[in-house]
Amino acid sequence: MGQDVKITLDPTLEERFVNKCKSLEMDVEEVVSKLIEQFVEGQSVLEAQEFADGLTVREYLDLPEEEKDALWSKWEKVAEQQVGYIVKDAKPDALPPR
Amino acid sequence: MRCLLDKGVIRRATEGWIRQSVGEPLLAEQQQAVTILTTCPFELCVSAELYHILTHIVEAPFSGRALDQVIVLWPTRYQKRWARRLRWFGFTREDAKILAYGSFSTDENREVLGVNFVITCDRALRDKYGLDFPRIRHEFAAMTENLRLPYSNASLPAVLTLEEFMA
Repeated sequence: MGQDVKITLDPTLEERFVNKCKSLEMDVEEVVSKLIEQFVEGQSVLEAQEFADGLTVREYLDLPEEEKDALWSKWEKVAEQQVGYIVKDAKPDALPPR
Repeated sequence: MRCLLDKGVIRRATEGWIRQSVGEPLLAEQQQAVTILTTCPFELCVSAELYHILTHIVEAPFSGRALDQVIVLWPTRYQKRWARRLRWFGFTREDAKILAYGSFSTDENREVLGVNFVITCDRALRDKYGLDFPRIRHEFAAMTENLRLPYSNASLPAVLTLEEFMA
């Protein structure tokens, strides 16, 4: 069995959370479970999480545009090396764009 | 209709989803990129290399959702040759590569060839492609006329900015 999880919220935040669940006509536990599931599944992130190359999400978002461009170009080169140049021969009846 | 999304579009979508996740407003191009990936009725494609970035290099919150939407394209014969010829027109290596993918790429099952549109955030690329298009078309026709099927049916994609595609 896993460790019991107990969450202590700031009272104001807790009140807002409960009120929002009520307005959505949703059960509090159901909402918490859903949010945790999204976090565990990687569908939501925290600013302190690593994004890539040792950069956190926050650090990446704060980079100037040119540095983001440079990073994506670097990652493309890395991807080219890791994927290799794999040529697939299209079938003779392959569909061109219509 | 098939659309090939370039690195800039995927980058904006990535940043858009991250910003949504941490509760920040999206910039215009990020919103447009997210909208395309979530609502576009056309077939959306990315290169095999870009797919690799999303699955192996960055830890993005959207990966599952975005990757469900896209078709991964692989280079076919003549992709490299056409990219080399596009370099003659002064396109960068990266730009020539994505443009050549637009004509000479196929899916995992090898059932398609090329795309209708290349969608980019790079206005300079779109402008240059438009300006040089008559000469590019001439060179393309000369290269493809003697190829075997299906490559003799290859076509040139239209290049649109995100904004144009959304309009």
